[in-house]
Amino acid sequence: MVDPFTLEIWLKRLLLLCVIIFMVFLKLLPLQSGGSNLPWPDLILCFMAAWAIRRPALVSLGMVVVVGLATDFLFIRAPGVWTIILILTFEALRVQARREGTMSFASEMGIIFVVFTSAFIANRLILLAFGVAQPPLGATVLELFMSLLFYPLVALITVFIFRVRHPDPTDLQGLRGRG
Amino acid sequence: MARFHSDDDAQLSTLRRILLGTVLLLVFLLFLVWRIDNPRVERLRTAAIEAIVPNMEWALVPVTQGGRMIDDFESYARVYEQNQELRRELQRMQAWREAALQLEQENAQLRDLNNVRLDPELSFVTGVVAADSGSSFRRSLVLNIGSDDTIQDGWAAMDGLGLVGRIAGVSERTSRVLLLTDNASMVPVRIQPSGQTAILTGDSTAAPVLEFIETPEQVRPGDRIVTSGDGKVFPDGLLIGQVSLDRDGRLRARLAADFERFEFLRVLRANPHQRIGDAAPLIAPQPEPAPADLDSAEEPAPDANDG
Repeated sequence: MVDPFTLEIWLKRLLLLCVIIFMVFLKLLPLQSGGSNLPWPDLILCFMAAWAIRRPALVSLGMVVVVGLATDFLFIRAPGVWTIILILTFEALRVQARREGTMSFASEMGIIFVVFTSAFIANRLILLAFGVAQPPLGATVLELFMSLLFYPLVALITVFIFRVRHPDPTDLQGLRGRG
Repeated sequence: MARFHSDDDAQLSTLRRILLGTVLLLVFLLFLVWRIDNPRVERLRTAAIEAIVPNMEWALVPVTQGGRMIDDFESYARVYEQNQELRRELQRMQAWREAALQLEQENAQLRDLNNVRLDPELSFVTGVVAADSGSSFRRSLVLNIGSDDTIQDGWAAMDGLGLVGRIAGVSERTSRVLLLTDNASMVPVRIQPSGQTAILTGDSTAAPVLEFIETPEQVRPGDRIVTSGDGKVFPDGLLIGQVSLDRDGRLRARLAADFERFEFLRVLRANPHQRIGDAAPLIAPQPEPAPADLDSAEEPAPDANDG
């Protein structure tokens, strides 16, 4: 008999992976290939962050690496840079989530703001340091802004549709132990 | 909370830290390899895309159909207006058709007078657009034709009307088209009535910028932009679009191709540029005697025999 906690964790991980694959798929569809000026929010980052801040165990290191590398390769970015940043971002989120436990939405938004902004800045700095061609600054800032704007919506979907919430104090033992 | 099982955590976190460090190092090495030996990793990338994109097609069909149905539905809603508009347009077009026919006849006569031979290499392969670049900042497409269909890097891709971009990255069954609107795209162009040359530089907006115009005063909005064939990037004279003036007073190109939605692209089989096969010798080798010269050298021989 499979331990129900383990089963739940793996089911939720699979669900997150499906959501991410769907997002990648949407981005790859040749629907608006021309030059619409408004960049899309980085929904993959939003979803992963919304899950990680609630249940760090659900966004494992392996998943972050696989998703980071796959999207780097598919979206014609410099392979590895965004992956490194994702790994560090989710390590930071994991530490934060462990320290804070259940948090209010305002403090969650605060953490997300700091983490996303530093991720975008770090990305630009690394690319700058290695002399890789970069998109214009304005567009990147706009994408960061859009991501922050869409984050509450993603958090809502995460809580009310996918039912990923901060763990109750009652089942804390079961979930923490497998973090 | 973590403080209560600190023993467990300490052990776990040391292990975790080692794992984390190793993964970070490996990923960073990948990035370094990409930075140093770009072509090899890019080949890996095209291989990855080739492995994934054809598998997407089954899922792509209902979505594109759905999008098209929504478009169609919107147009059904104002079918009457459209009908009127189309009728007017048809009338106008018929006048143009007459003019075009006359011009064609005239052109044919002039060609005949001049003994012009059309370039036999200007044939094309048509491909279906299979996927987008996925990134907000990159403007490129994946076509479902590749080196199996003799596609080569650097060929020009057009839709029915104008230039769309050039092939950048070919694998066996797919190839990537770098659009004119991408940041990395630079195309030497000529602006038609005045003959000014310029470089058309993409900046991820819908209208690429015209740079390095010698006397911008001679260029007016509405002028035609065609490729100049300079630098042997593209064949000469492919239509790109019209000059327009943006709010900052910069000259931009309004592209003739419909960049909103691509379905099919034709890739021109003309390849005027020198291919760079290796990563190292970026300065191209001495040109070999062109095959055209050989032809002309051989042609007189049979004549001589006949005579």
